[in-house]
Amino acid sequence: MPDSNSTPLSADVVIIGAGAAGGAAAVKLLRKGLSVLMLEAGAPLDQGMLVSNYRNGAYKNNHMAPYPTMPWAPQPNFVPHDNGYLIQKGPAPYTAQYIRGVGGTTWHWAGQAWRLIPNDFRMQTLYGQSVDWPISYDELEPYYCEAEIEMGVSGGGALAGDYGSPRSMPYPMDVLPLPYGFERLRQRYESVGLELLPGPQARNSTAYDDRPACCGNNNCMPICPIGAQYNGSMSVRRAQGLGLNLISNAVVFKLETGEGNRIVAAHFIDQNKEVHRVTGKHFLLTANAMESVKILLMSKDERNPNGVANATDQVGRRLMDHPASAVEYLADEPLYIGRGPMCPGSINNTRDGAFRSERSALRIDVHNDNPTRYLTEKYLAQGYYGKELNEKIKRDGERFVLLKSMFEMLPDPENRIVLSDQKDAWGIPKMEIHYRFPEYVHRGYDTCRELFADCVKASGGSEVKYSDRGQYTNSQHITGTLSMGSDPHTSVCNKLAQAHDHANLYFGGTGVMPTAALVNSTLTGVALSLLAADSIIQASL
Amino acid sequence: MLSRREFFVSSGAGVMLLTLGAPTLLPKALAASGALEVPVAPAPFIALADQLSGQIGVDRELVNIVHQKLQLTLPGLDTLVEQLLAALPEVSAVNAPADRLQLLASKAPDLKSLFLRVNTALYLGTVEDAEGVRECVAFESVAAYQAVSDFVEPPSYCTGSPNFWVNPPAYALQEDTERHA
Repeated sequence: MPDSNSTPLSADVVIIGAGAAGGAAAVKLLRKGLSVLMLEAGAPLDQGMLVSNYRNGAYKNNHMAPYPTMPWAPQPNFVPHDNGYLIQKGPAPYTAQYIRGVGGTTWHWAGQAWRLIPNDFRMQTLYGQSVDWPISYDELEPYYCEAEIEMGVSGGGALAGDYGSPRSMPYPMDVLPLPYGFERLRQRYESVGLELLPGPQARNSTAYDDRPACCGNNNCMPICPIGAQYNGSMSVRRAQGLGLNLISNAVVFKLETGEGNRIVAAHFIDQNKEVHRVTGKHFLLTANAMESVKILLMSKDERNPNGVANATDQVGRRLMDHPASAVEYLADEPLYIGRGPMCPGSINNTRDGAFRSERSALRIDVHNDNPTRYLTEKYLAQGYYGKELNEKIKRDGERFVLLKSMFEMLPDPENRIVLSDQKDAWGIPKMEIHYRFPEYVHRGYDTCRELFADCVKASGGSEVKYSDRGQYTNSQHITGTLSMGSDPHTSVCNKLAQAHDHANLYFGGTGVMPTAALVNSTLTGVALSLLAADSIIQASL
Repeated sequence: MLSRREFFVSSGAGVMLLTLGAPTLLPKALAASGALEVPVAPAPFIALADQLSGQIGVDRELVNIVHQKLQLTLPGLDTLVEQLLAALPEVSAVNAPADRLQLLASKAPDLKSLFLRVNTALYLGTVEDAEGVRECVAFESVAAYQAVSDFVEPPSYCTGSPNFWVNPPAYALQEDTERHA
């Protein structure tokens, strides 16, 4: 780690954030001959250590537990107690979980690599809701292809086709087949018009990118033990092979502006609390949809009294996720959930339709998490023990079903992130989250409740438990806050992913999405980051 | 394109996988507490563990560790163990599980607490200290995973080949074959 008196660090492009979005962009930029310097607040993470942490951890349902928190790069954690890093201002909680470390949050994602569908880009035109994107599906499609190749996505096949997202290239790998129990559910849900399909996953169905095929460790979250599932560290490592200068434990706290309001430098503080300055021709911010906001809001100067890229007070607004509800039940036949990858299939023919003018669309994930611990904990608390308990765990474990639905959140400017007066151990402000659910989502829940009941009935369900209306969990699809749009009064960046206020500042990742649509957002975030990289390349010519 | 086997051979990942897939991973907590030298639990505690786990054959090292850990937070543990053992025949005669807990609580709140804590340790591999901080003392060897070992591995472990999950587990296929024989 250089000190503040050493030779200034500089590159053609400075990328802030070493996750999937930053890593994929770095690979692309380096291949075009640009020099890239990457700053990451957290530390490098070791797969073997993370697996060990998981196995030795007392809170195995907490996906953050295996990931060490560095005092200079705190990260949200809510189990067993809220660590207070994200300050909830309500009225609804926004319990985001993200990892600050090389590779970012894709270390503990489910690997679902969905594209949006064309209608998702035209919500205002088609349904009179939220906004249209400033780009079309067709304009983003080439970047989806790039992202799928970089991440290694398996998908498609005879059952699923293109999932309603037209393709110019085949998937890099064949789709992973549905587990036995999913196939049984697929056949039974058909009777109520619900199509359970094997989903696109950033998970190897064959050896790819010098990584093995998935062999069903069923631990995609919190950590794939064999690297069959993509995570951002793989792109960062590839970029390092191409000449990336990666500086970890580098907490960026200020973007410095200069002539023409261009960004001239990033300032960071290291684990020894020494401050450094990094210069570049272009800056790409990929520090996730929350940490990126924090950096921008902290970067106040005479030209930018509200912070960088925030002349119209749009940074941090339109925070979204996919609020989720759930149903669990016991099917009338053994399904053996818990074998294979954790989220291999879902119901998607509920994603689009005229109803989107009235209520949220939805999609339903069938979960394949091993339910043994969950059921055991429940039955122990009820007083079961001995052979009766063993038989109940086995019988119910064979038949357990968990469905989770996602709803489309609307981009509400009052759902936002602002800086707190509270500081972390390195003197960096924490974030306050203001968040509420619209009726649009609640009406989506009402429809979903009926569909859940259809699923239960179609598979002979018993011991049914629905989550309540209004009680939604985060899906950890942090979106919005750096919205792409044509109007600087309602967005932060333009269709090139370039800040409205700064010619050489670009954004990547899920924060750029002006609407959340209805699918896991990582692939779209990476595609947008590759679009931003392309914009930088064009500007460098 | 590398096959999976070729990948493991060429990259050394096989060594990693074998390590990760080893049948027993000694938890850090055990290593730190000198688990290998944990004294053998008293016979009544072993008998209690066997009864509470339905004679499923819980790993004896786990039983010893659980006894050691509970001793730290439950004064008079061995006396309570004798009392719980004596109460189990009456408990087992109660049909509704919730009523069993009530019965134990009516005899002594500590008995209900011991019942739940030993069960939790044996089935989930976790114990709590006096402040309620949870510690992992076992993972893949816990009784819960023994109960389902016919059809599913503990998460992060895998003994199958890619796509094994498209078929039901072997015992289900066997039962199906026998039904149709």
